[in-house]
Amino acid sequence: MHTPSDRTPAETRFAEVFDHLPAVVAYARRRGSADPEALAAETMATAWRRLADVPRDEPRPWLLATARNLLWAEWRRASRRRPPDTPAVPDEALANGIDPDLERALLSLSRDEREAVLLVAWDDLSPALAARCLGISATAFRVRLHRARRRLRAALADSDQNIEAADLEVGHA
Amino acid sequence: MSDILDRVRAANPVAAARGTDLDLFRDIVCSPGDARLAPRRRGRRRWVVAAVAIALVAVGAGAGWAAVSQGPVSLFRSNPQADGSDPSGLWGDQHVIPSSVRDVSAVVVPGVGRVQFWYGETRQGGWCGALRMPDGGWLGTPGVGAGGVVPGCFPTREQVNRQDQVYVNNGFDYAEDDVDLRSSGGGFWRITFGRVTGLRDAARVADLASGTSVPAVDGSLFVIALPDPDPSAQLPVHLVAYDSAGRVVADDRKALDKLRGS
Repeated sequence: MHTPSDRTPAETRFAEVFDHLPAVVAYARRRGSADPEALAAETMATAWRRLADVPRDEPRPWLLATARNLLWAEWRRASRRRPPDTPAVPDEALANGIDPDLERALLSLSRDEREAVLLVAWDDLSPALAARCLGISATAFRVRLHRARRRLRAALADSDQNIEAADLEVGHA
Repeated sequence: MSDILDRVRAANPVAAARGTDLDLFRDIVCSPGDARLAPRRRGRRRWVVAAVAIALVAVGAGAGWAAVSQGPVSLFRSNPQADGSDPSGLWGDQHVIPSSVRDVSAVVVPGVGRVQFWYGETRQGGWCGALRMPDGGWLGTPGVGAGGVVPGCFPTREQVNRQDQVYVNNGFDYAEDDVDLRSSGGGFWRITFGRVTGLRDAARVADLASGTSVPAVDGSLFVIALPDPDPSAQLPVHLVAYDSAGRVVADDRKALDKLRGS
């Protein structure tokens, strides 16, 4: 068994990063990865290979940014495998089981806006850490999140109105 | 407006779990031949990932040689890759066959010039590989390149697996060295080199992630240079080898057995 006392200094340092494995698996699953565990494992293998690049104070933004890059690669591969006569797959997906209205509203946001919302709401990053994950300033992130919330609320309001209108039609029938 | 975020929070489809995975930790940090790797569970998909990590990390551990001005045969004979390894182990016991050493192919890296891939075979069934810069230096030796493997001789995945089931055998045995020209206005390049032993002879090897493709030499050997715009992130690489009819003969994300059956 590989116990902490066996570990080299690099392994000890990596163990601190590796503690965030469940968060990376959850991230990949929430974003609809076809194989969240494998994606998280690849993220951790990258972290080990580039341990000097992983911030010591808070590795999650770095890990989630790496996982996101791997996810995009996964989506690109999925698009490439698509038979020519089938509809294009969306460039991003979300985990199954989400309220369809909310899912539509989230998918109506731009990729950057959606990621800003989800990093805070689902991945439990503070705005400052989410900004690091996206490689932007905290100010830019706040602006992006503000816009995203506004657009998300508008999209959900449209959806609610459509439901009310449908209910009214049913009531008249 | 916080109600919107609350609604999204409430719809979080996956709660973060707790706990760790010591097997995966070990898969990532241990080198081939590390006693901590045995005994292992078999047939786990994530070994594909771990194998990549091991290939890129563990082989970079050797140090302490004077290889810059050596010729290729001398370089492979001294096998700096095996420095620090058990001389009777898989990594230490790889002895080049001098007559097999040859300049296989080359890639042109902007700002650097022609980088040659030198290849050889070992009496033990392994392979030797090294990248030579235009000035004669060997990538991966001290002061040459931006990282990657130490040149020398390597056991194949099959050899490693015979001793300890570490790798998924996908037909590829390869390594990588990096060149960083950013301080002089150039780019960062990943140069992947090695051999493919697929279902049939390979005519071409492609990286599907970048769309780059190179001819395979002698049905097996390849060197491919990939620009990396962001070395701090993970550049996705997906190597696939094709035969002369365009059929896939190896895919680094599939075990050969599965490829044979598909």
